[in-house]
Amino acid sequence: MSSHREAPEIAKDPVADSTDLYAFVSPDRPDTVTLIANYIPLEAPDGGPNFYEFGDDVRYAIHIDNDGDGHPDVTYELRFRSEVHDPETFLYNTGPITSLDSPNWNRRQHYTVTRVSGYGEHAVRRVLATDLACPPCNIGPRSTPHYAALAAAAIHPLPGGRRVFAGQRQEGFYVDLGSIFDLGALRPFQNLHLIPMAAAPGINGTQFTNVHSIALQVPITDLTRGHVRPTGVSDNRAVIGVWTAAYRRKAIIRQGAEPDVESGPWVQVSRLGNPLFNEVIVPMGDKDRWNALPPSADAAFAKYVAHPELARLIPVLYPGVFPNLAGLTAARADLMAILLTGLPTGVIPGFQNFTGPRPADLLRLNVAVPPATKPSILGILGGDLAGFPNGRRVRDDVTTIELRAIAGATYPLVNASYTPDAAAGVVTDGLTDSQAGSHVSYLDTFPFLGTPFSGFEHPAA
Amino acid sequence: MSQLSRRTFMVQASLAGAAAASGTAAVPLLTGAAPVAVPAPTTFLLHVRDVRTGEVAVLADAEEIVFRDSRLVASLLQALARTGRQ
Repeated sequence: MSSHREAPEIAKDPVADSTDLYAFVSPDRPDTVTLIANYIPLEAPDGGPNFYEFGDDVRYAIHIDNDGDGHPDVTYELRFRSEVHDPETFLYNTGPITSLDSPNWNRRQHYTVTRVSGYGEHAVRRVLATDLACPPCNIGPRSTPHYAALAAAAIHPLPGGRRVFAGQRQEGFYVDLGSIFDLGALRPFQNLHLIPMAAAPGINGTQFTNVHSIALQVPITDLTRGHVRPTGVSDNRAVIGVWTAAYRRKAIIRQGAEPDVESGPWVQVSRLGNPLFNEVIVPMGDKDRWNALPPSADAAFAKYVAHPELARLIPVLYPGVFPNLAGLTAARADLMAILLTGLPTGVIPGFQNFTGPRPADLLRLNVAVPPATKPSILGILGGDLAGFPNGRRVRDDVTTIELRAIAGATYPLVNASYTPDAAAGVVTDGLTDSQAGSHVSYLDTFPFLGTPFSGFEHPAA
Repeated sequence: MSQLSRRTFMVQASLAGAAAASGTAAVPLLTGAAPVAVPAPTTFLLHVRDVRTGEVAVLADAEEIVFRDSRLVASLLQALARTGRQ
């Protein structure tokens, strides 16, 4: 998956497990950037009576690096607080929840948003809002009628033209999980697989699941170096690097029936920049370590990008289909640029998202590129400079984009003499078509991810 | 680590009077540390990181203070022995 359960330790800690990260210039307010960090993978919509919620004991952060050093210059932090109105009932709700202050809603969450400038000892913290309400989970038509309106009421304004939403959303990431994890099979091409089967359409393995989203919409000038709004794509102040991270206290003492005692510094337990980085690039023995380190330490992982395991596997799994990729033994400077430094000027006409030579897994967004009038879910590979890997929008088909890049489709960007295999330009997990959005529903305005599935209407299979 | 937090911990009687027996690394010693009158946390956690060197970490709120105090560690080991756990 993008980053769902992508490392052994975080797979056991769902509330701190970041699943997807999005960053894009907002089509509904082009002077702003929308940042979305998803947590809690693969929520079954009917997973009650203790429905999903953020961790009260987790610090959630969306970090922005605007000077290319791999350290945060701006951070938005969220902390959550749960409360139970009636401890005498086992029920999540005792009647229809028709408003965010409904007395029928028994267990609810509120949160605090803090903006941090700088990092470490020089960080300056400013609390933007406290006691903001999350919406409930989508239970069903009796418990949460008019859910879309209920969730819309949980979009809160923040000072400075910002707004925030934190709560359950429909999973926006689509991928054929079951096939890919079965020895790298891609159903449309599995007749060509080392262990062949009849070709078939792809199946979205995350369909009918939900996630918990932290969505922020903030002015571009809130994130850029010097608080400017660059208008030229070549302006190096136009590029920001985004990642999300979750932190837990260093120590916890469990006291049985008494409340736990937590103490010590916040320790990073989860991280996500580019989709699939820790999932597919970093090997099993380093995944937990990667999750514990900041992007500024990513030089240690650059070797996995330069010589990705998947690029070696593809020609083996699909014999005779990728002969040019099989012969490509040079370091993958194309992937290094896409994932670790950004694409410098001159590689793609009219575009750059270069943050400097320091390798760091950041979701890099050039904010001077306006929202596309006719977006392509293949992003830059589809000729759409407003899509991944220039940031990431909710509909972008990042699985196919990265599959094609790793298969060699982007190597000519750095070596014009290389001819990609024909298959590199068409490989997909079978969910890439003009109707890919039909697998999932989205919103055209903030917070962009769709209304979560209700447990009544979409019980777990 | 902040000075405020360091002083907060030093005010604890069990630590303030303790003298470190050895230590060559960058981990600070507590020899001669004087108590400072600042509010102490009501609860904090102590982690003996290395019995051999006497390296101890104290966790309180969002802070972590690391120092060497072999005498303190020896006392803790004696307490463990008295309870039959060693």
